[in-house]
This record gives sequence, structure tokens and C-alpha cells, in this order.
Amino acid sequence: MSNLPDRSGVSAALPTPLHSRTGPLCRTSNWRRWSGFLAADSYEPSHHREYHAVRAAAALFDISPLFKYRLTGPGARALADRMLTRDVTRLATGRVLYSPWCDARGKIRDDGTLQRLGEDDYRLTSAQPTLGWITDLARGLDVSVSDESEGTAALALQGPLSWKVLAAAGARAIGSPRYFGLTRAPLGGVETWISRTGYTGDLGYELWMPADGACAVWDTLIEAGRDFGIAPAGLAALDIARIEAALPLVHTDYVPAHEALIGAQRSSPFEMGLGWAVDLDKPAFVGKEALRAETGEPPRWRFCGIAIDWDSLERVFWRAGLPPLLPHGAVRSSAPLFHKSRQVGYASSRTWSPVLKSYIGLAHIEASHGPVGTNLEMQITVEHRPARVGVRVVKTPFFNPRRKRATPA
Amino acid sequence: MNGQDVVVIGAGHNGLVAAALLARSGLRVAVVDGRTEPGGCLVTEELWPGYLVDTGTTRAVGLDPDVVRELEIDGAVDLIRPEIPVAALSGDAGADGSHGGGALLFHRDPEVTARNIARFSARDAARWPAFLEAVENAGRVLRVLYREVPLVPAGIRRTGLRHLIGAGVRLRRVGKKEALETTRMLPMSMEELLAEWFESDIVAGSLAAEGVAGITLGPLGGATALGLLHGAACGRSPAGSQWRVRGGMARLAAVLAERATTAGAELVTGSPVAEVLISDGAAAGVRLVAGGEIAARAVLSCAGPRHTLLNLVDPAQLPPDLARSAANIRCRGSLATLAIALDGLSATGDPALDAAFQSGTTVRAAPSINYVERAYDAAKYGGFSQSPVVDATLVTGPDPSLAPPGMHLLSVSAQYFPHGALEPDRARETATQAVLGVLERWMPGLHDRIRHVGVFMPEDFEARFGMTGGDTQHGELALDQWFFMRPAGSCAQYRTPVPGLYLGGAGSHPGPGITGRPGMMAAKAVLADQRTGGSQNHGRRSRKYIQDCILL
Repeated sequence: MSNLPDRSGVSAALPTPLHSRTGPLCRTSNWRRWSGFLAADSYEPSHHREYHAVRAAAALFDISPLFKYRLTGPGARALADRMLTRDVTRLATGRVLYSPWCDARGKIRDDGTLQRLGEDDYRLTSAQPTLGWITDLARGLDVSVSDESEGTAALALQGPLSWKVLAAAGARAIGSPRYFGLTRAPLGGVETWISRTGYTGDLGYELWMPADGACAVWDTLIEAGRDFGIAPAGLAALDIARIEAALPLVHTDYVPAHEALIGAQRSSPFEMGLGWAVDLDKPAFVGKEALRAETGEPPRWRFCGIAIDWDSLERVFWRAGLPPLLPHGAVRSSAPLFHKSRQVGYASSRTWSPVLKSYIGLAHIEASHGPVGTNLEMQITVEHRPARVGVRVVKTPFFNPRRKRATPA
Repeated sequence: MNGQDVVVIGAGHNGLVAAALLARSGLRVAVVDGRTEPGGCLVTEELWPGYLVDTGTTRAVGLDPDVVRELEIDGAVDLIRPEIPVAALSGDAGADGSHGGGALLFHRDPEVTARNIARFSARDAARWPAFLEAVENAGRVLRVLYREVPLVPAGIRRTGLRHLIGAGVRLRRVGKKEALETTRMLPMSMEELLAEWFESDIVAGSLAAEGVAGITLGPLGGATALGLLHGAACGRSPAGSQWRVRGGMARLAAVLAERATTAGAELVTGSPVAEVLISDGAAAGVRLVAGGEIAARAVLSCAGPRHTLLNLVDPAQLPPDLARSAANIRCRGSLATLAIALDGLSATGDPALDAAFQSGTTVRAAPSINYVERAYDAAKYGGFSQSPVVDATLVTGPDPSLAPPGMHLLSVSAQYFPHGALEPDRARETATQAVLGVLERWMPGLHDRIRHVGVFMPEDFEARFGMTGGDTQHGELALDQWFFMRPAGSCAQYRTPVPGLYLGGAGSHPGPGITGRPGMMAAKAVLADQRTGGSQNHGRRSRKYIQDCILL
């Protein structure tokens, strides 16, 4: 035993470059581990104010734990095109695209955004470590791949007033980038990449800067946002917002193909409602053959939005002598879905949507039961007993404001 | 030339065997090779006027009996198989140069060998017949596996249950005890295996050298027993009973090429392949370095798997996992061959040894396991053996036609001289000095008899025959690069994840040794798919492949 190294001083999670700012603010000590970093779940005892900042003002998230890779050189575009299911060749400089990427069987490994910073200069974000996969795919291409996950910090500024905050912080002169556009501006003296992207389905921006300049950018935004009700926000608020926007979360809504233990755990882009992000007309990319073969068969699964019927929820709780109890935040555990006595799917995420006043969820449902309007039942636990509530397949995104795509002036 | 059914890349022995079998089945076949003569490393060149030197393979385990039968090779070439395959020099040749106990002659007759061993150890002599039997039993077990397309454990669906049961029944017939014993032996080092049988250095050293021939590992290395057992499966006795071809290895190449062309295959030599053409996700032919394309419904590459998968196929067409597996195939050549022209022979003071040597016996300097391991030590750290393991054969003994009248030709293979360790000219010089140093200790005065020396380093094998890393085995024969893992899980059954692209060289099951078996088995895979319309049915087929290959 005495041979074991002394790890008493080693933290199981590392501070992000913004920890000197987020640490004192996180009065709840309500931290989560995100890719090995400390990430606030909520700064305040309840996440509600942070959530409402996303939908009514401006919320500032530290998203530095995202993985970021820089692809540079003449082969950068070919590399991204070989990896992602979307056609990368049409991505112009100063634009961003979202895409999943697959293994050779056409099952999703991860998803993320690709920013085109320059002619032969791309940044790829991912939820999971991906350097090995990218490097494998770079074989034979004239491209340099670097992992800038730790060297580059990232912030997400999201909410209807996010442009006003950003403009006040110094970006007014360059103007807002268009939806999925990308630009550069100095913020607090730090050269910052600003992408008109986000994970909330609202107006918003994601900011990318050198790790040592992150605090200066944070301070500038907090200062500029004071008049607009800016709130530092944690993962709890983000999780609710992304479900309202019907954006899937890796490990919750799908299992990365390379981590799946059995075939049934893997999902193709078609089964995740991402068929629009698969371009079978482009030259060889990873998973193309399998995906093409899949288009020849009827889909087996659909990734759908569901709304839980309030009356039936009230009924099952009433039987137990209780008022309807709602989850406090987003629920990341699975709930079976039934059609009559047969299970036809499962809800992988669900939440009470404060802005919609509705109990909603994201679900994998057998294709035949997937059309909007289909009525199913979801199994929940009421006072330690299973109970079934009615759910209806609904259109997604649940919350889709016009400002999501807008370019504020 | 266009519109072939199959293009075979590489006119080595496997490529020619495959081409002959495919053409005999009525397919239009073209064999493409960068060298001007067919045969691959079965090549005999007149290095100096009047000297015919095997500049590639100097000796072979031997063609597979099925290949010999199917292509009617028997009698077509004159094989040289000395009565005494190996004479092992005793004593620590590396230390004091003495060969105190004299040489140990391994005779094809086990009883004679046992009598010879008795001079070193009565106990070892008594164990010799049982050892031979144990190795032969393991060889029989492996032969069952070698006759089959490898069973892929995770892909029983693909392998077929009937196939699996068939192999099980045949294994059972060899014997449960034997199968278990083989399983026990496979992961052993040569040293561990031999320590169970022999006490004398010379017996163990000589057998150990046989086991590690062609690989870059010493006899203390894990699973090096495989070399010995693989040899046994291919019909080689533990002490070495490799054969040569009278007139040079090119004679065999000529026979194989004749079998292929007579069957209708077209030989396209002097045309290195630049790329495997892939259209619509499936192999569609080859593009030549010189320009020009040959369209085909299937491409069978008998070139090394690393070269094929990494250099000839667009990486975007390969599943990334396979590209990584291919890049990880160990190709570490450290075998050098020397051709030494002599104007006379000097006596060594051991008449029995001299007589054997002059009749074609391979004289081996591997007097103990430690000697072999020390030779490897240098390579382990990236250097050259100072006292290498040396096999020297007077090829003009049984076949005087290989040299001008009165002259002699000594064929030497020696290791370990790892690829890339030294700059080429220095590598040649250093290796030559090391080898001659060892030979001189055994045959004093040799130096003064030398007329010419030709040296072929791993770099030469790579440059001349396209063997990646100078590895003559197309991927070291090691337990993790063997059977269903050769050359990689998703290609172990000769098919690759690219529909219509097949692998059938020494890098495929059952591996190296000039057996022709990989080529034959690959040809059968191509034929089976052509019959079932496999290559026209890309979509569905590839999906299944992809599913199966990820299972590994």
C-alpha cells in the first residue's frame, strides 16, 4: 500500500481557465464534472434565474471543457469532409456548420460544430476526446491536427439580449455575425472568435479565445451585461434549454458508437433525426456505404419530441393521494414508452419547460409510432410504483423563437 | 488487356498460384508486377559471370501439397533436399572461437540424428524422437487450421456454423490431447519450449535459430515457439528441412508463371501498380505508375497488406479502424542474405562436417540459446548483431551449375541486421564483416578464397520486392499477427471491407514460407464471390462486412 503514489493533493477534476471567476460565484458548490473539468451545475440554489436569463435576458456559460481541434493545411478540408457526414466543401470562410460523424458502420460517434477560420484553417468542436480518430483519418493528407482543448477557452453568451451585451462589450463595430456565421473582435483586449451558434435554441453566441485571456473576456461581458440582466449560468439551465430546442446530448440521447457495448445501443444519423446532415452525394466519407445502404430500408427508429399529457399526470398522482410532482430540472434517465402493452421506445431526456409550461421529452420511438400526433404511454414512478401517463408525439423544436436565427443590428 | 475479371497485384509465387487457379476456372485474369520477370522473390540472377545467385528467397519451407497437386508441380522442378539438412556448430563461437564438441549433424533420419545428439547429451538423444513427435502433432493440429479460411471468433455468422463444426470435427480427429498441447505451446518462447526437452546448448541453440528465422525477436521472446510450429504445419522438420531448386529459385518461378499463362492469365511485368481503383465504393481495377488503367471486377493483391492498404488504396475508402490496424502491422526485417563466390574450399578439421557441407548441408552458427538471444539484443536496441546467427550453405555442392567450373557459391542468411539501423553502404559493410567473422572462425582461410560478395540487406528486400520494412514475411509471423488476426481481423478471410478487393500474399493466412497457400485460398474466396455475384452486390455485401469488421 505504501507504494501507492500520494494523490491527496490531486483533484479529480481540474479548474477551467475561468475558475477564478466561476469559483467564487458558485455559492452552492454545485459542481459537475465535465470532461474532467469543474463545471457549475447551478450558481444559485435554484437554476431558475439562470434558465430565465437564457430565455429573457442573457446567460453566460463557461463551455471551456468542450474539446476543440484545429485542422490546418491544404488537406484540412478533405480531412473534415472525410470525417463529417455533411458536405464540408461548401462551407465558406467565416461560416460554421453543425454535423454528426460516424464510424464505418454509419453509427454516430459524436457531433459538433466545424468553424472555418480561414482558407485552410478549421476548428472542430466535440463532446468527447477525438484526437485519435481525427489523426487516423488524417492518414495520407497534408494536414496538421492539433488539440487546442486546453489552450482555447470558450464561453457561450445566450439569450434575447445577448447581442446587446456583446455590442456593449465591444463588438458593435463589427456587427453581429449571421446565424452560423463567424467573426473576430477584440473583447477586453483579447482577440476573440465569435460564432453565432449555441446550444439553447435562442439568440446566442459562442466565444473562443486563448485560455489566458478568458477572464478578461468574462469580466468585460459581465460588466457590459450589468444593464441587461446578464447571469452566469450552469449546466442545469443549459440542459433544460437544449431539450426545449430538441438538441441531442451525447451519452444521454445517444451512446457514442465506439463506446456502445451492444449493437442496439448505437444510432445512425437517420435514427437520430439527423438525416438532413448526411450528404450521400459527396465522395467517400466514414460510414457512407453503410448509410447509403440504410437509405434503402425503412428506418427502424425515429428521434421524436413528446409532450406528457397533464391530465393523465394529474390522474396517476391523484390516485396516490399526491399533487403532480414534476422533476426539478432535466431528467437524464430513460423512461419506457408503450403502445398498448408493447414497448415501442423510450424517452431519453425530459424536463418541465418553464417557458412553455409543458412537460416535454426527447424519445427514441419505433418508426411506425413516430409520426406527430401519435398517442403513447410513458412509464414513470409514482410513490415508488410504476404508473403510465399519456404522451403525444409532437413537432420539434418545442421552443423555436424567430430570434434563434435572427441577425440583430 | 482491359475488362478483366480479376487483376492480381504481384507476380510472386502467391500471385501466380492465384492467377493460375482463377484462370483455370474460366476467369479473365491479368497479373501485374513492377519487376521485369515474374516470380517475386523467387529470383535467380547472374550476379557475376557464370554465377547464378538466388537474390531473393534462398530457401523455402516448400509449396503446400494442395498447391503442388492442383498445379501439377511435382516433377516440374528438381528439388534439392540434403540428407543432412543442418550441421550445427558447437561451442561458443562468439567467445573463443572453439567448436570443442565438433558439429552436430541433424540427419533426415531421426535415429541418425539421435545418435549424433548422444555425443552431446544422452538424455537429449533419448528425447529426440518424442520431441519430433510432439512437434509433428502440433503441426498436424495447425495444419487443420491452415487448410481452412480462418475462423473469425466474432463473426461466426460470416464464417458459417457448418464450417466451424467441420474444423472442430477435424481437430477432434487429430486428437483432443494434441490440440490442447498445441494451445499450450503456442504462446511459449522457444527457450521455454526447448527447456522442457533439452539440456545441451547446441541442440537448443540450433532449434531456437530455426524458430526465430525471419522474425525480429530472440528465442526468449514471447510466443516465438510459433515459428517452429508454423514450420511444422508447413511440413518442415524442427531442425530445418528447407529445400532449394536445382538451377535456382527462378526455375520454380518459371513453372508457376507457365501454369498461370497456360491457363490463360496475362502477365503484365515491369508495370508497378500505383493505385487500386475504387468506383462506387468497390474495387474496379488498378492504375499503373506508368499511366494506364486495367479495369477489373475484382482486385487480388498479393503485395504486402501494409503496402496494399496504406499505399495503394485511398485512405478515405478504408474504415479508419482498418487503416490503423494496417499501419500497426509489424514489418521489421532484420534478415540479410549474402552470396559469396569462392575459388576454393579449405578443410575445417572435421571431415564429417566438411563432407556434409560439400553436399549442401546448411552450416549453422547458433551454438546456444543465449548466443541467439545476444545476437537479437543488439537489434532490440536498434543496432546490428556483432556475432550474428548465420546459416551458410554451399549451394554449388549439390548443384555445381550455379558457378563456373571449379568455383563455389556460398549462400548465407544471417540475422539480426534491422532495417533502417545504419545508412545502407555502412550497413552492408558492417553486416558483411560480422558474417565473415563468424564464418572465418569455423572455416579459417575463407577470407583468402573470396572472389565476390553480394549482400542483400532488409533495405534491399524492400527496394527490390516492395517488402515493407524489409520484412520477408509481409508482417512478422507472431501470435498477434497470425490466424484470424493475419493481416487484420476484418481482412482475415482474404476479403477486405472494400468490396472486390482481396488480399492473398504471405501477409494473409496461413502466412510466409513460399507455400502458395495464401494465394490459393484467396483465389477460392474470389471465385466463391464471383459465383454468388458477390462483387455485383456491393451495397448489401459491404454493409455486412462493415458490421462484421467492427465486431473485431
